[in-house]
Amino acid sequence: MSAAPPRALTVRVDRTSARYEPGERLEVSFELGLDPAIRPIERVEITVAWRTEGKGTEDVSVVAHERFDPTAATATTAGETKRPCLTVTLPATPLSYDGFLVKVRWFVRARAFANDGDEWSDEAPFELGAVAPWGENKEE
Amino acid sequence: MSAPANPFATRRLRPGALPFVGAPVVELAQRVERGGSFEIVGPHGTGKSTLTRSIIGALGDRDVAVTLFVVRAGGGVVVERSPGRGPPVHVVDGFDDIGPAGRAWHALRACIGARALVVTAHVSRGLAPLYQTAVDDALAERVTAMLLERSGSTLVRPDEVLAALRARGGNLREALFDLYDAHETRARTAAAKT
Repeated sequence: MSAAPPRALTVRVDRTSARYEPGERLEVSFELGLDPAIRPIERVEITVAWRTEGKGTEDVSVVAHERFDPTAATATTAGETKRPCLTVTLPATPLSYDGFLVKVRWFVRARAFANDGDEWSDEAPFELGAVAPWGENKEE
Repeated sequence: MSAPANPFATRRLRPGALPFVGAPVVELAQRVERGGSFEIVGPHGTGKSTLTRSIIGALGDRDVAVTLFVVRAGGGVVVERSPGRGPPVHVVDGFDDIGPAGRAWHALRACIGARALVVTAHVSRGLAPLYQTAVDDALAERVTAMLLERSGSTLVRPDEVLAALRARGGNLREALFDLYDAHETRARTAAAKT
């Protein structure tokens, strides 16, 4: 069985649980699986945002957005590879919520733009706060 | 623990999120590119906006500029511009929802500075027909299967859309929102059992 090819772009949050509380710091990192000699990348944009999801009109709000020069991704300090990342102090609201009609989803998104106009994107969800999903806190 | 993503949420159904199934989109875009005044006609929830977005995407692939006016129920208008060569194609999504004066204004604007005019409407406005949208059982099942496949969910079967389609008088969008409810209920029932 052959190994899966590397993903063109991967975005990650710094906790494997992907759970955060308001006021905590969230660190977002990205990894490019593209060979810069073949596909030079002009820039990578990282976004931290939330959106509502359900049957109605959606709301989307961006709380942080930054551009990175991917060529800086290989700078090293003390023998370690240091990649650019975005650090955000998370706001108090809105908390993640898993309702029947509406949900609040937090996510980080990375978009990589090649010099020739091609682009790639990746998204990773995370949770802010610990509101019980709809139905779990109803009285009997 | 969160319920799995619902494949029938607005963000997965909205125009532009799904390709239009069943129409020769590239051929329609080529026809628009050559110029003229066209209408896409069909009942509520049959894909007029989705087809419009697909045609705009195909025009963008051909480097044709587009100015899109999305008329909201209640009167608001959202304007979106996509770049390209030459005069833009003037598109009005929701031609029924603006008054006679507004329709005349768009027709005039399209004559003066646009390559072509494309409108969506529930009834013919006397323009050259570009496409008539309609939903049949096969199309509804195909769209439902596509949404389920994209999300990886097996909580709903594609053929379940047919009963919802009957109940909603052929409005596929509303039928898919009924499946949203069914999916949500089943996902929570499954989560409660585990």
